[in-house]
Amino acid sequence: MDDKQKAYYKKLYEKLSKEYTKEELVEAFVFPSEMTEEEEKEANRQLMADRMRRLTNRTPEEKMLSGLLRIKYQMKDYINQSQFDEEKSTIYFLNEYLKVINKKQKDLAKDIGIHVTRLSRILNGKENLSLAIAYRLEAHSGDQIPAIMWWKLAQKEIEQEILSDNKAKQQEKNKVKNIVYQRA
Amino acid sequence: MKVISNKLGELFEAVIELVEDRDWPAIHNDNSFSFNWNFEKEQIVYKIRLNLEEEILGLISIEDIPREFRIHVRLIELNSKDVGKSKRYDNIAGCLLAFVCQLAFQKDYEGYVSLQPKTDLIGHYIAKYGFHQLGKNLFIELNDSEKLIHKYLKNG
Repeated sequence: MDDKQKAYYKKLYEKLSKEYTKEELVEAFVFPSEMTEEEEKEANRQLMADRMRRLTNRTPEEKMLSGLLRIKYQMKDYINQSQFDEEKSTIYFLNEYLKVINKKQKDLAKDIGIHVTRLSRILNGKENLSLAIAYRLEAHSGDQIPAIMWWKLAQKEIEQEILSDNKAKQQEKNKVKNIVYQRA
Repeated sequence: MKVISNKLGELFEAVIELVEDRDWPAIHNDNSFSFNWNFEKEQIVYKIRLNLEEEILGLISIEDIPREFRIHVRLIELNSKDVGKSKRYDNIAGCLLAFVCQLAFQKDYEGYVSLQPKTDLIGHYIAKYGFHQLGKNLFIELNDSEKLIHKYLKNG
């Protein structure tokens, strides 16, 4: 920021400080940094050093929390998007979950009380994730990843299937008799 | 996410989205904002508005710093009608900060968000949002970041 800008913000801050309390200011603003170039360099260096130190010294619990919250907010972001993305499937997020908890399929299946073949079927896209399993995954994550998110994710896939699987639609249609209304 | 009507105490659904090209003239010409937002055009800038309404209630400019696994908050400014005792809505800045914490989890940054505040406001950011001080910096991460998200993005 050049000197002219700095002077503008200094004046603005003085004006706002007369109109509002400090509590009110932090409820409405983050002002540009008032540091000199040297001070800013030092502050950035401090931040980077602290960041690296924290990353290196994370406890297993902190790593677990961070991983679970990453999955939760990635799921939330995808659920809120209107478009379908086959890369962001239940299978993808379940695999991410396995990576974060650092367990094999058979161990997770055992933890949530289902047969490993069933988990494997879900991971291979041969079976949809049921509500019961969504509840169990919620409990397994220590309530960090809510069942509703697994459920909405699975529903997004079913919605896409309805929109795109014309073959299955036709096959089922062929089994129907006595259609109650025929379009003219 | 919801903001609270200061007058009615009711919750109103709000939306945070990236500022688009068509927003800039309004931000620039509207007397509701005093910062020089034109200087932020090359940055990542989000706006918050009420659902189904166009008026911008607040702006946040951030810098994504992948090599340090953090997001840095450059600026926040609320619409002048939402500052101080006569503000129309409460929780707007909290929603913007919580939204950025959420981004910092999505990016696998452990919810780490930093800012470099005015010295005499440091204590107030700590008390209001749960930031931690590191020299002239403030940061929030992990549990505290999640608490902020919970407080501002899940209120009703």
